[in-house]
Amino acid sequence: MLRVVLTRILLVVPLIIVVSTVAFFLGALSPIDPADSILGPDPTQAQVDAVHAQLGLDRPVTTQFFEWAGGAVTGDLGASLFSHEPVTDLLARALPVTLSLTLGGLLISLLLGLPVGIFSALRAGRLGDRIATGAVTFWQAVPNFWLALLLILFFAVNLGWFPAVGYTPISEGVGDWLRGITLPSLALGVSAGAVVARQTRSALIGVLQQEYVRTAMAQGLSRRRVVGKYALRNAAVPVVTVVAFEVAGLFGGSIVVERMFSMRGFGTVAIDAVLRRDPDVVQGVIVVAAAVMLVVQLLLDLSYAWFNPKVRLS
Amino acid sequence: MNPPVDPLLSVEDVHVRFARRRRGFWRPRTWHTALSEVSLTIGAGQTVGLVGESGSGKSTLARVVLGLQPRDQGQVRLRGEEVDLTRPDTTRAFRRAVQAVFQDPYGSLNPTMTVATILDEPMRIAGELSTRDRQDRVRELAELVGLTADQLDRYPYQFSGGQRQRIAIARALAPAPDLVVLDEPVSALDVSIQSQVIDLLERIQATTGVSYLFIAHDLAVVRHISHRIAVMYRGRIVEEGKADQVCDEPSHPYTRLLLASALDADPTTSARRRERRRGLARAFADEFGAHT
Repeated sequence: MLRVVLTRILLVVPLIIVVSTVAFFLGALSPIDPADSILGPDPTQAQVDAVHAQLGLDRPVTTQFFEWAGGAVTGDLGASLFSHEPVTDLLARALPVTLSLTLGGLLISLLLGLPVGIFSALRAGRLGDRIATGAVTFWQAVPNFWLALLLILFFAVNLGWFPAVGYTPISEGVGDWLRGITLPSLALGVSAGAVVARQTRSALIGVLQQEYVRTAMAQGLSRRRVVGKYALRNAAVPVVTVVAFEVAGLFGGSIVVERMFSMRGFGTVAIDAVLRRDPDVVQGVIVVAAAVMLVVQLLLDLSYAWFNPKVRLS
Repeated sequence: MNPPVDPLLSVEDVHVRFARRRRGFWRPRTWHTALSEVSLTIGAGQTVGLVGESGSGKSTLARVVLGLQPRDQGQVRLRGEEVDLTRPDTTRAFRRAVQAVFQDPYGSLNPTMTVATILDEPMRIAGELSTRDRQDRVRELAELVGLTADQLDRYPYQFSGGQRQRIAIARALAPAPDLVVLDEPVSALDVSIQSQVIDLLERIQATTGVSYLFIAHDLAVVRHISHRIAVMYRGRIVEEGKADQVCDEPSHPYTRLLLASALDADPTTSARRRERRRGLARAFADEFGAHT
């Protein structure tokens, strides 16, 4: 087990090298010129060349890449071309925001999805299941920016229970931090929860038809215990798989919701950097995102081994 | 023949019906009768074979006996006392006394548990033995069904179908039950493995005095193991009696048809039997309507 984990962690290194290399050269192909943003409209060619020389963009791409890579291995990810802020600082500020929203959204999706999925599976085909499945379809169809708008309007503007915008770091108080991330987490978690509910329902229905479930009932195990102990664990593999996809989606896909709540998270940093072509920031974002995804994948594989003994030995 | 035995479990006048899927919201619900006027008695230490074609209600009856299937009418008695599954104390005793082995040796064992945990589970639920006693019993059971001690820490997927079925049998025997319901326990196994499992079941009965309700569609196997045989057709028990009597002098046309359906290795016998079977099927169809 330990060897599997170590091997997987070591595999992260070459993967990140490949990802960052590809990303760097793809970025170099981008038609967006950072000089346009710096100089404003209609610059002369001399001005553009001067900016390029100043930013080091006049050198061959490979030279630029090795300069960046040389810094990256020592932990220096470069700086933004525009704010001159070190990329590591930029990411260190954005990452807690996105991680909070991702975890919050994940928690909401599980709190919503698991009970509803279990409820539906236990009443498969009956009225309760149909109502729940209908509701799930509805949630899944709700766009998160629209839900975010409604949440802001109702809970922040009308009731004033939560702040409408802004992120409070956890270091400035757990209560304020929680209040700040509640609404965006809800906006993100509801449709993700619908996916979890669907997957839980179908996986659990399949497991409940297995003979070992019937046997356990015949042995006198209560329904609650049969579901909790036998069925859920066996139904878990497809559920954790979609949860892992949800995490990836929440991590990268919360840009719209971040914007709506004026939170400068990872997605916002990424989109700004791409649109202005801020190469070091783009690289930093990609490396960190790749690392996060690889960690999620590792956790997913470990959970497979935990839920399914067949995986453990092979 | 067999000495008279005390009734261990009896099913009395049981009716079960299932709602069919409605064809439209406004259409009235229609019902499918799965069991109708079914009565059956299983004596202590006895094996009752239950035969019948697919859909005849064998497995529904098994579920009724196991207390997994709500009844529309009728009773189940264990040692003369009515089984009331709304009372926790009688439920616990009943769940311990009646165990089950199902057909599919791949689906009947929880894939996330080791064999030792699987065998321990029913005893833990019954809650009568200490942890140490249960561990001893697990080893004892493993030995009984021919598993080695080091196999106890393995998972079900690491065993063959026959081994899995023996694990399922060991699990059923774990809480020292009075009756084991065997719902087609050998149908999914190779013929050579089938006889091993049947021998094992007979040996266990000889030493422990457990009763079996043995469900199968292969009459030869049922005849071999059963003291009495009940024949089911379309939700009813159409014939019940001593095993040899039912097989040698069947009184109901369906039983005759079922007996005639058994295959034979010799082509000439087979051809003769085919002729006989066709005659019986015609006679049966005249009496009971279409039969396929």
